Amino acid sequence: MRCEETKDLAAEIALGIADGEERAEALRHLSTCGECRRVVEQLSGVADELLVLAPVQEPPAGFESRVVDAMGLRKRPRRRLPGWLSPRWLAPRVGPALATAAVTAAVLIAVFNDDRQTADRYRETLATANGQYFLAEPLADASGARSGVAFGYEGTPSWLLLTVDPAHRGDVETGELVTRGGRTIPLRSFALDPRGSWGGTIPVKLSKVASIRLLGERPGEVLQASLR
Amino acid sequence: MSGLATGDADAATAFTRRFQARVYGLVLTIVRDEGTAEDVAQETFVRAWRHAGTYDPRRGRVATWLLTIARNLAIDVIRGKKAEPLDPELVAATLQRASAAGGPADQAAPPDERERVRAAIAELPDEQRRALFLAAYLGRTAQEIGELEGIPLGTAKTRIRTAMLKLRDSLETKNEV
Repeated sequence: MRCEETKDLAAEIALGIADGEERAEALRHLSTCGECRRVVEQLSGVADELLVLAPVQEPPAGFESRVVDAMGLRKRPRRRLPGWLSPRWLAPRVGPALATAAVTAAVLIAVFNDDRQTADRYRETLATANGQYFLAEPLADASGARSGVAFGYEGTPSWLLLTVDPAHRGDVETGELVTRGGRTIPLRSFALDPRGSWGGTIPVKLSKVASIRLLGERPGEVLQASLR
Repeated sequence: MSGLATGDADAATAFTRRFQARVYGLVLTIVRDEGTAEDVAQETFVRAWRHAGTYDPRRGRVATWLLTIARNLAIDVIRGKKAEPLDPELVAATLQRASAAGGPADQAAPPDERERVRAAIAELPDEQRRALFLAAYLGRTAQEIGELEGIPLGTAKTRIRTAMLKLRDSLETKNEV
């Protein structure tokens, strides 16, 4: 692509709407042409300035708290116990029951020590990156037969790993998320590797995803995992 | 911004509070659904927080960096939903009205800056203004704008290009005054 063609396309590049092939050619030219790069930079500045015209509107109450929660930064404040739950009030009333429960717990801990270690490891793993939980749900075909597994992680970022059984690998073309609000979000980078797996980050919290759908070329070629 | 990059909760709250009205307003304009707008606005701040270390102040102000993230996420959502086309006149009118009115909570873009941009856009012919809004706010390609407006692709490209060049010249002139 030459200077004249690149400058013709500069506005579309700056606005982020140039089509992939043209854009790639223009970017190759820009990497070697300072004059054209200057024009694109100027127009990118104009595109940025256009955004200041959008209406200003406050989001629903509590928005910033939800954002900080989503970032995993909030330190949860300790709740103060009401007076009737104070140790002084509770000790004589529930002491005997607690003693019995403690003995039972000691027995259970001994029996389920492995489970506790597993839980500890799980918590430590989640704490490494402020994660909330992992999950695994079956991917089912239209008849309900298990056809793969969807593994998910709620954290920053949230991500999915999908595995599809060999019988269905040829059917699946695209993937999408359906949120609990009914919104459909395409998995843009979705493409199964030769072993039938795909993994990637998702643009919403996993807790907001109601289901994961893998679609084929023809209607009915759908694998779906419903998330609890 | 540096507090955001280090993961400070108070800094993140202050940062969000400062820009939330502008981000939410932009996203709502694009996605036209309050629930979706809140999700997208939230994701905008999470992305900003996650990539705060890569923000380069030499390449623009924080507000425009943040609004660009918001715009791109919102456009991804409406493209994913295959939303019905908007009436270009309605988009243009909404934005012009909004920019003229300003807003009490707008701390991210001073009124004089909004007025400067609004005045520059007001000088554009209607058809160029519509093409510009469709491209800048809704991420419509020249091909899509041509189809929406019932004009050839070449005409749509010319409208976008001419509008952007005029705007550049006009804003440069206003900056010099």
